Amino acid sequence: MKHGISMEIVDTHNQQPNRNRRESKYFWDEIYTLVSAGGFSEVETPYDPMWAFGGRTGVPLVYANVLDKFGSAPDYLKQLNACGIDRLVGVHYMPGLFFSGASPESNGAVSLEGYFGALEFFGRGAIDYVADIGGDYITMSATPKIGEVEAAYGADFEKGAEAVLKGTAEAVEKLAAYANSKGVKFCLKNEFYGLLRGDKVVDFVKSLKEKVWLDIDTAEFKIADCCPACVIKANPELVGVIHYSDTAFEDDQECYRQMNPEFPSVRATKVYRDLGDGNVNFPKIESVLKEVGYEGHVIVTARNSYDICRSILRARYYIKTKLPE
Amino acid sequence: MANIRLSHMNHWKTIPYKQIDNFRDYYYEDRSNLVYFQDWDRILKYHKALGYDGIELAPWDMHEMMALFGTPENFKAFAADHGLAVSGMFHGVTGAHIAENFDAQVQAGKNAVDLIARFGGETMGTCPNSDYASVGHPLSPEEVRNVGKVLDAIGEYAVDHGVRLGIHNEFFCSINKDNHLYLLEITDPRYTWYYLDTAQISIIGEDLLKFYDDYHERMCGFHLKDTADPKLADSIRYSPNVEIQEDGHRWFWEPGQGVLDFPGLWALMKKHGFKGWVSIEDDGTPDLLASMALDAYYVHNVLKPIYW
Repeated sequence: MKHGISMEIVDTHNQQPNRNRRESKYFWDEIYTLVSAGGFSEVETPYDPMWAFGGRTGVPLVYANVLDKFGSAPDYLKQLNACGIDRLVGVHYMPGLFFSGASPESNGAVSLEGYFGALEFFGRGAIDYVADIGGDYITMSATPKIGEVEAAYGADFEKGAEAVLKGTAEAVEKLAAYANSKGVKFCLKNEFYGLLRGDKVVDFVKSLKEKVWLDIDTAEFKIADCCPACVIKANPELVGVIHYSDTAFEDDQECYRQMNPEFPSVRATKVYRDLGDGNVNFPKIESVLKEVGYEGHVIVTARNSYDICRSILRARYYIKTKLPE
Repeated sequence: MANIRLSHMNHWKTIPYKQIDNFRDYYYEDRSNLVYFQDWDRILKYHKALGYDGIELAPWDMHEMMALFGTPENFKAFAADHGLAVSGMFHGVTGAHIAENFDAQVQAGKNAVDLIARFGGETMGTCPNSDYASVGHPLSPEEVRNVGKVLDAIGEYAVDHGVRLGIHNEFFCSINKDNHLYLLEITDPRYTWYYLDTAQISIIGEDLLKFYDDYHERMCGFHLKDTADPKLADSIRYSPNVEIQEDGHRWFWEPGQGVLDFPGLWALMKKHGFKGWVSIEDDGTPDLLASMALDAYYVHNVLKPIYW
């Protein structure tokens, strides 16, 4: 099993010392040399439309910024190759920022037309990027956070959630058709705080008219109290990409309903841990993957990492000692 | 009662917690200093401990802040519990040189004023228009007048709500060296003030002290920051995406770490009797807490003895 790594190990959103460096090109030019030094030659990157705004073009996490700084996707790949990265195999597309109905400026009003319009626009850009750089897949955060939907719809939450899921199905079918036409696998990531948390995503994917794949992100399934190995075993034909994310978080107080669920307000904790620091049973998952003959990508991730290099090296040590070939 | 109140522009990026009560246990989870920068409770305590009177908010933080506090009033009360006031909030006007954008830009400005008023803030430092590179040409006098009309309309509404709108130059803005004095002249001094960013005005090419001396009656507040790049070439200022440099070059430094004459400015503020908020802006620092402490040392030991 060959393991790649997600550049989500670089937390571009939350406050931490030296975070500002992450907005400059030089930081990203160097970080890939450190990733390859940690023994990873295949990477996934976030695809985060936030970086398309505000003149922060040094952050290569949307296609426009890659074009601005490197001229073309193949030229960017050459830069990665020079750092020891063989391939950018996929992206994690996060359209959640367009669902901002709970912002004070909007007074609770949410524009689903605006959300899905932006989602599709940037989603096509993400698919183009993956195709042009020779990647294999895009995985999209399937829905806005439950807490955001609740904040936007209040007492009409059920009705709002239904509208969001209906629109999601239509948008996903369109994007998946576009991705399939470009030879890119379209996968859905179901965070523990999304409307398709746990195994709800399985029936959703099966109901779609276009072929859409599952992203089995181990921590997301586990926090939602759903066994990732069981989902893999029951649906091997649907598995498009695997994310090895670790956690020790037990959501026994419905933190998944918060607007900012990755930071549980009831008790501060590091929800996503470095590989080996949580209690996800990766050897078991790896044996199931071998059992079902999975041949796709396995991507290590440590979202909201406190220390990028530490996360990379902890992951490499864990793979070396616990997941031998 | 001091003439000057000291604020700090919020450039802490997303602060994910309101208050961490299990601090020791949380620290031990990964033994990282990051836990010291993750809740508003501690961030506000740092402000108070270093002698700041207030905090200036950023509009791009509102969504995450409201997820934690629910309403501006709740944040205002939380800050007050920490001995701090909200001095104001930054605002950005875009595309105001195009007459057809008047209504939308004025409405966006009024929304921002409403928000500031709910926080109890008094200032709205306002970037007057889109950046030069995105506009793509020098603004004509008519286009500058369109910008002025938007600012005056928002400013009048702001005055009615206890807030002062001040033009806040950005060195890459379409309102720049060749037209910002014209904008000041054509806007109504009853409604449109000036929010003096000491570094931005110097990078544009103005003499900081002369500019303040000439326009001191228009000042409603300050963004205090230093620079080592005064009088930056037009070709650089007008290029796209210039604020964040590829090699990490910093345009802005803590007061005293660059080349600007802050004691000279303070002597003029004393001469003209400035009263109001001075907000330090550590834009681009790798370590906000260290910068805040460095700023505070400079203010308390160098500037306060001159005038406060």
